[in-house]
Amino acid sequence: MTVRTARALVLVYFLGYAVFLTYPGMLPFNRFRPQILGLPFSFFWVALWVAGGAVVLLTLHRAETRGRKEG
Amino acid sequence: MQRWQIVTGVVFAYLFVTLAIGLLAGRRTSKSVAGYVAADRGFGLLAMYFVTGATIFSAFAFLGGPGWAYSRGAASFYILAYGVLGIVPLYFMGPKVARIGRKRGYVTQAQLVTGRFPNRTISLLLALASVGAFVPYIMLQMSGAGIVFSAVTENHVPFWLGAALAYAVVVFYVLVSGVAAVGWTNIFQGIFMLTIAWVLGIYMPEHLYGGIGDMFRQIHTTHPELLTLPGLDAAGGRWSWGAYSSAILSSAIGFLMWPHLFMKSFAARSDETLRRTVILFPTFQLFLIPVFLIGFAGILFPQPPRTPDFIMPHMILNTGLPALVVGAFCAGALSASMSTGDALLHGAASITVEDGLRPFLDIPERLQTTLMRLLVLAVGALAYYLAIIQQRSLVWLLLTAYGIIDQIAPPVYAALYWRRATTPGVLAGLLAGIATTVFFFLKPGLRPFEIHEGILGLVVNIVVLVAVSLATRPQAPEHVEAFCAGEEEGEVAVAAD
Repeated sequence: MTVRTARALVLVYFLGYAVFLTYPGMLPFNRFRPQILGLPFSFFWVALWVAGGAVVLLTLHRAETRGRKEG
Repeated sequence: MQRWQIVTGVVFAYLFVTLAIGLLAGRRTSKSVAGYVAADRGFGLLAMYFVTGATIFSAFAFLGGPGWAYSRGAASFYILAYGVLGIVPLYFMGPKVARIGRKRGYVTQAQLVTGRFPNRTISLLLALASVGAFVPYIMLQMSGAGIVFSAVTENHVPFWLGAALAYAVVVFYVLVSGVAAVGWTNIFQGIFMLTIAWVLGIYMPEHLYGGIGDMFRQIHTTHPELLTLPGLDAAGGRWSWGAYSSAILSSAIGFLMWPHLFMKSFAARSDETLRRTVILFPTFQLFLIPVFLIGFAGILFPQPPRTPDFIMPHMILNTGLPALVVGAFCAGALSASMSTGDALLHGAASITVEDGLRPFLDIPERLQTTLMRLLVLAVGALAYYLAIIQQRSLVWLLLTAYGIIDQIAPPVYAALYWRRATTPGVLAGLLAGIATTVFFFLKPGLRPFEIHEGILGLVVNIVVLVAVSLATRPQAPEHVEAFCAGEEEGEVAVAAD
């Protein structure tokens, strides 16, 4: 993945983060079932975006450091 | 020996060890102001990671978070949500700030802003806003320490005395060794907190209700309103979506603007360190999950705590755990509030001197350090007094602080990313933003859709900044160039969102 794509991915991801964890984007996910890992779905949904944030940032970092070695 | 005495013994032993680590670290850095404030710009990744983590995970996360989960249910999810959103801009902005800081020898946020917008009033306003936001944040930490002491000793050490004791320790080691102590004690405390929180967060629902899923099913049956967003408000009524959503946004925007965190960019050893801190940050954030689980476990528990902020120690103390574990955990929560407290006190004092006084007075280097130490004592005393007389929840204190700290964001982003911004624009925006925030803080009933006063202030701040900047003469391009010099090519305003 190029640095440019990775940066775009981070931008889109965190825009989605802001939209889907606040009103009104959160509404469809504001439910108790299905429980995942025992957590209410809404709780899990928030935790999922947090964990996904780590993955997206790691992707960006790998794209950047790889580019630096080649250059 | 009674059980509470054993627990108290463990807590004191822990405090002693933390104090020792802090003092040993103090011998290693230089005595100059740069050494005191930025630890000679020498923090490595491990130190940065735990400094950031343990500074953020304070009494707010350890006591306030579970307190909200217990009394306001799903409303507490906002705390889990905002941190990661808040720290992402650091990935882009941090290296840039560090570069400019290294080149020009900046140690504070206001120096960065006034480097681009030379104006002493801006510096003073930033200092006032920072200290104004620090006071409720320090109050939160002091209340946290008081709660832990009073819960652990079964009120043999009352709230006011516990808060005073913990802060005597903090003030002592901030005075003796500055930010290096902050770093080393946080490494120790960070590792400790993370481990025990996960163990207890999983153990407690299992032990009391047969598992996390079963616990939530029972809460869902008896208190369905607690598990539906946006949760409850302080009075037990329904919280509003406007308040919930804007709590996330206002905390996320203000997050990096905390001077004690922002100044860490100047202390980082390399850009790589800063970037890795951001990438690893969600791992710290996820640690709120077990902490919340303990708060949720309190909902079905027969005896209620003294106030919701007591729920964490209440659960730990009353579920038959071994005294050693209880003591160690309470010490962890205590040290969480102290480690954040020391960074805050240290930040408040350095900012008052560097940004509030130095632009106006010529103070010799030796006197500056003395002055900073006196300010640590003074700010600590003020926050202590207010913490003793106020009755609000820990989370409420931090949300209030964010309203003020948010107003620093437009000047910082304008300095770094908007070439057309002018000094009058930034000054006018800052004044209007702070005035708006304070107005809606004092008149909460007038807020549209219960939107957080920080967001309302921010809207006014940005509109005024842009309008006045466009109406005034642009800055000389050489000035803007010189400020941004040292930037890598192609580094565009990705983080401006």
